[in-house]
Amino acid sequence: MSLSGDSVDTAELAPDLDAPRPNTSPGWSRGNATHEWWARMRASRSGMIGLVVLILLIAIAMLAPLISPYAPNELAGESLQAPSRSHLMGTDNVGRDVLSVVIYGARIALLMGLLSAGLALLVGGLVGGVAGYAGGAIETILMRVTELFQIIPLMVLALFVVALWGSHLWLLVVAVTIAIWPLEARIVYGQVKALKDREFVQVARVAGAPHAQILAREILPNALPPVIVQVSLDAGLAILTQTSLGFLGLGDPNAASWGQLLYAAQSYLSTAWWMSVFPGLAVALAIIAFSLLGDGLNEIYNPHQRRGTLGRSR
Amino acid sequence: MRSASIAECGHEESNAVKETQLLDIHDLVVHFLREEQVVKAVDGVDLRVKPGESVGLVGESGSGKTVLSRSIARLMANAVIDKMSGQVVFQNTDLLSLSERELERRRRKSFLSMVFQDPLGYLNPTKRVGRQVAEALPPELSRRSRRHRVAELFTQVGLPGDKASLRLYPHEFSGGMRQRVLIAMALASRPRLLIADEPTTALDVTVQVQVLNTLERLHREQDMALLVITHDLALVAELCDRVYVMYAGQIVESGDVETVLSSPHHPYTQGLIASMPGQRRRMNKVDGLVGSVPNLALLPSGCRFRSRCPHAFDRCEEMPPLMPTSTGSTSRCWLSEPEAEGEDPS
Amino acid sequence: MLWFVARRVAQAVPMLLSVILLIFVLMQFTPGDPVQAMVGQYPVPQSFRDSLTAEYHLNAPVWTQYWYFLVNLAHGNMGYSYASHESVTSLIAERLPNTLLLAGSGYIVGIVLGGVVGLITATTKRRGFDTLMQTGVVTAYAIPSFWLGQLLVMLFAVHLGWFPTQGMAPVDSNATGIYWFLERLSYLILPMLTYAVYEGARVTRLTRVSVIDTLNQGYIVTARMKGLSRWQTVRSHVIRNSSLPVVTALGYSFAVAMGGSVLIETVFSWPGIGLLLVDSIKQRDNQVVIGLVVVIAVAVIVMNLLVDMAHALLDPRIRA
Ligand SMILES: Nc1ncnc2c1ncn2[C@@H]1O[C@H](COP(=O)(O)OP(=O)(O)OP(=O)(O)O)[C@@H](O)[C@H]1O
Ligand SMILES: [Mg+2]
Repeated sequence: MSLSGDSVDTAELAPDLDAPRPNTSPGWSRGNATHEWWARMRASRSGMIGLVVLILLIAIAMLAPLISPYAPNELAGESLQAPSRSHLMGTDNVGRDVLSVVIYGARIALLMGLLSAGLALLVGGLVGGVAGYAGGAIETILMRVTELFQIIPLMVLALFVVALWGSHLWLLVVAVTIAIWPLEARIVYGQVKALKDREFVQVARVAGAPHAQILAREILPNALPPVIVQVSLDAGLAILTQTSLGFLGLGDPNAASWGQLLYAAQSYLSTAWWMSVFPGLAVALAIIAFSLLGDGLNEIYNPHQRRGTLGRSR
Repeated sequence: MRSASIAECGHEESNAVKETQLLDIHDLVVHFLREEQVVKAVDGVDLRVKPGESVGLVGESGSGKTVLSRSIARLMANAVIDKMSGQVVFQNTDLLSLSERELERRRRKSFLSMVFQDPLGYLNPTKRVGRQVAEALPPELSRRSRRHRVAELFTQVGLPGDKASLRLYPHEFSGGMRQRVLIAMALASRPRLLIADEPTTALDVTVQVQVLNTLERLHREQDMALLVITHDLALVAELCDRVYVMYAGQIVESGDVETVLSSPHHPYTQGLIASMPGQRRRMNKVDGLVGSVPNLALLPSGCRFRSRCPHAFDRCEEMPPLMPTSTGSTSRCWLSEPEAEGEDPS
Repeated sequence: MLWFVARRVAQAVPMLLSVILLIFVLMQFTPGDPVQAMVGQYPVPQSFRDSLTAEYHLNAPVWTQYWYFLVNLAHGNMGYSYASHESVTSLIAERLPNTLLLAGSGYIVGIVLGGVVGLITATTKRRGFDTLMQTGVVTAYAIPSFWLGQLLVMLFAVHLGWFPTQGMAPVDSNATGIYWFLERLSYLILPMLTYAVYEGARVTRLTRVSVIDTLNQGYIVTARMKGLSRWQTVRSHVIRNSSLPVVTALGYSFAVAMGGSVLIETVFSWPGIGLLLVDSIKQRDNQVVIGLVVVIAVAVIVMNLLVDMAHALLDPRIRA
């Protein structure tokens, strides 16, 4: 497509579901598609940037003990020191090294973010998948319930759960999961419902394949691509929600996390800018990484509808 | 001195030609870019319309009729155009060389208008029809004369012109009525040429007749030239003086309606006529058309109809030019050369 | 139109009941006894627990409990905050206008800005502007709202000293008239801007897509045929039509804004319901938390209702 065209093809505006797909089960996970997948990924600017940043973050998280100058909760020096040679990002109000907290924070952020996104996919996938496949009353009830969860704002819902159940590290994961699963449910539902009536699924059904097999062999592999895109975007959302809870002072007080650092920074905005700037940058970087990765994956799976966030990638 | 006078002569001559023509298209080329391929939707078209004349443009679906008519009106919205060249001379001005501003100015008065193929999509669903028609009137009109004129246009196209009807929304109209609204809109600027792109395809048969009668009446009463685009030859026979047959982006035959319909030269035209309902027996020489218009991005060299032509022979690998025939029409087929006539290889 | 309104209102009622049911169900899953869920861990005397048990019939079967939960809500009774010795209803009523002022102004500024920017990016021929704005939108999405708030405070309040760092009004001030207003405004601007950035980014994105879609419609070609100029076409055929999907999405983005109020009010110590929610959670004052969640859910439903009506006003096809 030309870069200078004055207009957008209507096809580009069509939702993913309308994108023409062959009538035989294309199943991305089948066969040797890895090579092709990688080739397309390489061609996507957003995707590659996202991937590289993400791998970098994961490396930092895994190698934290090796690269971090101090232990996360170690009192490394005087409190509220501005960035210097010995403390590259300064120290916080109790004298912890900000750089070390930021490095260790990547562990918590990624772990909890990915865990919540994964759990949300599990719950949402189950609800959405069953609703889309079963149809009828089950469909109506499940999707209505999903809608109900979305009426309460995501952040408020997460807070409500924390208020009722407490804020232990992994209750926080549950809170975030409860807040974001409806997003996955809706996308899985849409995919499964659209695929259910496709020819290759009907062929399998007429041939007498059991439901479980149809779901596992025909529907899931084809429903996966848009779901993967959504999960990538929602992993960023999970990290954001997680950090937000931390910022409100509701995180685990003993875990060295970005949110907790930002919470502490709130009281020192007039004196210690470094307490806010560095962990905030880390959060933004993580979210951007996931969102660019999502864009890249979208370009791979829906080449008809390439609209990257980095400019018009047409 | 001598060369100057020759140049002047040439100039005068072309002026004389122009004056008798309302619309004079010369070698119009419109190519699109679609998925990195060049779609040759209009490829070197010549077409003329005299003032007050009614001209038909026929061809199968996908032959480029809509693109041609839109390009005439410079309404090729939202297309990735790869190449656009040639001349579209209307009222002695080449429209392709006009600035956008100048076009906008001209469109408001005695210019050319279009009626589109799909009446629903071309009306704004959130605006009352009366207002949509009023928008097409010259801006200097007073409010009162504006309302009066809209009602007048409505009655002209056979719609109720009362206040309540003007306040309706497009979705509250039937398909035929919507098409009439579009026609009313097109007539608002008192155009000298109305291009009607398949004005009746979306309508059922009885309504088709009504809309056509309306068009014909307006054509006669207002001395407005018509360019009717259709794939219905019967419609052309009824409504038009002359006809152009279009195939795969090119004009393949043109001439007076009676001549072309009674003695078609190009095999494509013959096929079109044979495909008309009720024509099969009369034209027992030719069968109806099989297949469809080739992909305009992957055209073969030579005659574009070759692959579907029952008479194709070696020479067809070379593109035939439009040439005059014995009956006074023109045809883009080697078999139509006066000396070749009768030596049908099949 | 009247019929349409009546029908939509009627549809909202079961929605309301089920959201409250959802809140109620979530409370049922709380560890400990039901009184615990209602009052949280705030130390309250046994007499207060007993009166709650009686008022909400907490010893009765679950359905009876739900019924009384509803009955109490219907009477405007959302319980009593032991922590602040005030009824939850009046506590919320006191704070709600502040949130509406802040979130409302940020919301409106964001919508207007986003609409204008989105329209320009979709219609401009200058690629540079479009790309710049698109990048801005992506960045805005990635930056946590509370962090942006902190950055704004550090830059404009601490470093430049143009605005106060937090709160809603000076503790003691004898400004009157226009000065009173300006003083209040100086407190409002930074938090409002923070809202506006997010709402603006969202609306920009929606508007851009919608305008491009509208520009591809046939009636735009018709307008050009009639001789309308570019700008006339945009004014008369693009703005209203392309606002339809944007308006539809405003209900959802209102919910997002309500969620965001928790964070932004915390950064700026703005005494609205968001801050109240956080404080109540920290004090384990569940009566207030429950009341707030109900109020926010109701607000979202009402907003969706309003959005639907606005949509019907703009689009004659769905008024029926
Ligand atoms: N905006 C566009 N971009 C790319 N290709 C286009 C565009 N518009 C039309 N075409 C192509 O140009 C060719 C001619 O299309 P056109 O609409 O002119 O056919 P038509 O003769 O009007 O057919 P119909 O009778 O179905 O209306 C088609 O192959 C079409 O795919
Ligand atoms: Mg057409």
